[in-house]
Amino acid sequence: MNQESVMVRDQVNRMFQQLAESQGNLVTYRAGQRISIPWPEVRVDVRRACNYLGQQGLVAGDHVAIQAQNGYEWVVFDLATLACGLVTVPLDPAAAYPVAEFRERYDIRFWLTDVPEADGELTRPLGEMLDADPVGVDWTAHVYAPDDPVSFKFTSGSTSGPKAMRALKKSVDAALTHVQGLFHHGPGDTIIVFLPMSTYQMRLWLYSAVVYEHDLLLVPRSLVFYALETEAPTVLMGVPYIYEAIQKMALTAVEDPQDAAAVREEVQRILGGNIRYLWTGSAPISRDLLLFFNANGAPIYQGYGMNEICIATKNYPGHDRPGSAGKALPGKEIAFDAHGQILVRSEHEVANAYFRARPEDDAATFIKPKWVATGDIGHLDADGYLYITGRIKDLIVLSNAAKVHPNLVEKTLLNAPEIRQCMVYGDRKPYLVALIVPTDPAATREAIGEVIRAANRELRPHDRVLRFALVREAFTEEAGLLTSSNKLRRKPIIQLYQENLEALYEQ
Amino acid sequence: MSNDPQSVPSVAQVVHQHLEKVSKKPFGAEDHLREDLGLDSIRLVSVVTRLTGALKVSILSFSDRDLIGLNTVGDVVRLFEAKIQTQSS
Repeated sequence: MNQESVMVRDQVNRMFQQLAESQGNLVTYRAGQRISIPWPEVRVDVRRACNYLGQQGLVAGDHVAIQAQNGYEWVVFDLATLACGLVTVPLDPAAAYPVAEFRERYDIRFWLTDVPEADGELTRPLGEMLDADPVGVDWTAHVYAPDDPVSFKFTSGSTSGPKAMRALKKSVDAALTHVQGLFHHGPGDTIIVFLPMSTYQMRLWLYSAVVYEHDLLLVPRSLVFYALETEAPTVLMGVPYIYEAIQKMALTAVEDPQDAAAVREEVQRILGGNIRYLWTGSAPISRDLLLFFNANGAPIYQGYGMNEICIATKNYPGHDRPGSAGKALPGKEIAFDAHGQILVRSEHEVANAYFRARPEDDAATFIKPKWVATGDIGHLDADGYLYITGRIKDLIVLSNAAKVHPNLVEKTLLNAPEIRQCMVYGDRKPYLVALIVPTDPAATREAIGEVIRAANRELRPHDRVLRFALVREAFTEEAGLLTSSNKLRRKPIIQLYQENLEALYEQ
Repeated sequence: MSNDPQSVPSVAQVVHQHLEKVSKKPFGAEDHLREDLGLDSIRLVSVVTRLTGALKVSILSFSDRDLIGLNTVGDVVRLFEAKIQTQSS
């Protein structure tokens, strides 16, 4: 489908040298102060950190962990591990890890952290690497082979716990090259990153800044709105929840939310007024939200990717279809299995297996060389734009073999303002039923029944909800019924309302 | 507002005023930001950002770890009182 039409450059191996020549700055906050450091100056500390890592007896291929908030040390550490040929194990700064167990599980030779309470016997304070002397002038950076790992990536597994993989060097080169081909970052651009650097995609922006000579504005989450307003970046690397928050902030700040000019002014004020585009990914975003930002002078581009494939599709200027996840990047090919599951082939694959995983987990995802089964369901339109419609694990197969994508049915039901929340059910059952949380707790069965009959008229016959149960208590994250991104946690909901659901098949 | 020092609002009053703008219902000091006020963590960042301006506290003194510890309205008040105390000492 989409063949490699752009040469992939060897970016990782030239990173250390490029630091010496790169225009642009690292802008961040340190010890309560704003700092802006040109990349060649960052390189001096990277050389110190290389010396420090060498003094610890680390050699190319060793696994080194970092657990720290976004900031200067993260950047120095990361670029130093690349220069030394190490494999980073990036850890969530807010998580409490069983240090000894983690060290063994991931063969971690060394663990740097800024977490004050971390066990000092196994971990080292991050700041001490900056006290070392720089390496000598005859020192040269490590050269990775294309299939060498450069960093761990951790992915949340819903059934068997988190899974880890080691990203191959060639996949980093490919992602950098192809994203640059779409967005042409360069001098004058400032990309703000506030999500944790332990998320691999954030570090791609660091490498992009070095290689393509733009500014990186790296901030902890607590400073994101301050940094947007005061630094006026050109690109915001975000996920849907920050865009939902900005929309709410803008609409509550203005006197009249219908006053388009006032809303636009407030959106621009929050974003700093200099946005070239907004990046969104990682989770589905509503089309309305995309249109909101597009209408307010901040073009927003949705994409699709996952840890196992990196970024696979993306909308971009001139090739934007809001509601879709965009077209395949060069080197990515999209296909579907018999259930509509999205399969992605990567010319420069991220990994070929998880790190020390159960064979069945590897087999379910890494289905053949370079091909990953994503677990998502979707389709391509005639022009090659990808649409994601749900998760394969949520697919309902009725007893008549008809397949129902519950998200699509629920979306139709939720178009009715009378329905606050809903979940459809019916795997291996003769017809579809639903749990309905009415917007008005006093709503009658008759009234909701009428709403559902109206919604059914828009649905294909096997997608129609034939019976329903009213649920007076909203599904909440606190009750364990929603994820942190407000998605239904279907299994716990089914368990909680099992009797109500089964009763709908007995009437 | 008059110049009478007695009319200067307390930290708790300023925090309450700002939270009232984003909360859908009345709340007290022990109410939870997420469960009771419906404030997710990123919106809490936006409220804290505005409060730093209103209470003249340097936002650069805040870390993500400060915010992780905020569960109730009272926690926000106590955090700002502590920051003001540190700043003035």
